[in-house]
Amino acid sequence: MKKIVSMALASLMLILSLTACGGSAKEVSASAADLAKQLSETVSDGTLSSDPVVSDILASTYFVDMEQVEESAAYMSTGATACEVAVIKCKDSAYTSEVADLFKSRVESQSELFASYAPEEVEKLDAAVIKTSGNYAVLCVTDDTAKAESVLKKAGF
Amino acid sequence: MPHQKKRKRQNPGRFLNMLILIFIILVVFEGRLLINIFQKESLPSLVDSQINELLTDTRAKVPETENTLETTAPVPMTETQAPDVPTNPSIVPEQSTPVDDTYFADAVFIGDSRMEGFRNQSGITQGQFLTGIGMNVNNIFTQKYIHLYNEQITVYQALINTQYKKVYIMLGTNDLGEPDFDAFKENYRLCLSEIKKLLPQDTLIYVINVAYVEEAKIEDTSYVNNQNIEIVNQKILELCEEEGYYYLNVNEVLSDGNHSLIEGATSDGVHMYDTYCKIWLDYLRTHYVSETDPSAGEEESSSESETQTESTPETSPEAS
Repeated sequence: MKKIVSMALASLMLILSLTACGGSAKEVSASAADLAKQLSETVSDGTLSSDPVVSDILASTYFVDMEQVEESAAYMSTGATACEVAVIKCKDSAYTSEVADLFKSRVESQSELFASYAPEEVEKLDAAVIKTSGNYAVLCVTDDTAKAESVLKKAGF
Repeated sequence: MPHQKKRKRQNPGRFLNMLILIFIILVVFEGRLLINIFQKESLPSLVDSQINELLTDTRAKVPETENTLETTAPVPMTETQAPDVPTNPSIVPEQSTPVDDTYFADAVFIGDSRMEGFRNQSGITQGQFLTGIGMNVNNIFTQKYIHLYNEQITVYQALINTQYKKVYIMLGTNDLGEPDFDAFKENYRLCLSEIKKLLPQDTLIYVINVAYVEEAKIEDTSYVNNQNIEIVNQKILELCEEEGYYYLNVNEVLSDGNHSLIEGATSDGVHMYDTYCKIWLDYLRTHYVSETDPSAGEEESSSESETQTESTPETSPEAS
């Protein structure tokens, strides 16, 4: 009886571990720079910079600890819209949830500012895409959220 | 008698000589007269031909000159063509040697969404930015524009205990609805004096004027318009003169030459695309005051500023 129970438990653990492996096997395929570029192209009005901002600006905008960042890229707006894109690849996946929280904080702050200045932009901020996968954390405020989701899905999110 | 005979013999010879002399004289003078006549007739034609030659040369050269102007004039037409422009020591002159971004390492940039767009789009690599969407000379004192890790603070709070050696400030776009531009000037004066108190005494204060807008892209131009911008800029210039701040006229490089922002520079008429933010950055790199001798900049500006401001009644100190 003991053998049967232990065999059953072992099988169950094997199945569970295989299932878990299946989930984490979906790794992000693109680099932070490529992914950020692709996401920036979902913004249709051309208000994002054609080049990514320097890392100092990224760090001071999101308050990310750059020592915990392996690779990053961000595209920011002319000021006309709330659109922006940031992709951060952390050295350790444990830091991604903190980065996601920083992104949420940024979106809340921007929503407050835009509410009185350009209320139509708040809708974009409400629909902001904030996702993590593996070592990656992504923020995308765009006028085409569906397209951004599609880009992320293809990249492995 | 013999004497008389002798005289009679000599007379025909003399007469003949006289005739020959008269004939020669007539021939010579008539000839010169004829020559003069020909010359008089040919002078106008000679002058005409010379004028024609000159005109031909000039006509040939005119298209060349126009082409040169077309090709050498920068896309953002500068205001340097203004014939009668004011001399003003507060206007920062163009320097022959541009600085690199390390010049901005000890600088703080303060401003509204246009300054934020400059930060995001110009490619600048140094300097700290204290910017906020909707910032103006009134709410800068109270609105907590600066987002920190765990809190939001005002620009003034963010400047406490800092050692910035240069301030670049650009406000005014969100003040265009201000009914009294003198009040705007006084509020800006207060704003700048408070900033100055928080920073080292020798900190350079650069005040960037309000960049023009593309009126055609703005829904409501009742107050956001280039006429108001020129009035506001005149107030800023006066303020700089009175307080010894350095005035940066970015419209030198962002104007279309007709008191408006370059067409196609924005999506909404106000916030500039990266190409134009880079032009703006290049302007800052070439317009600065010597840190070792700030007065040198003032001296240079008195001569160079003559070609740097747009001549309008609004921007001319003499006209105010």
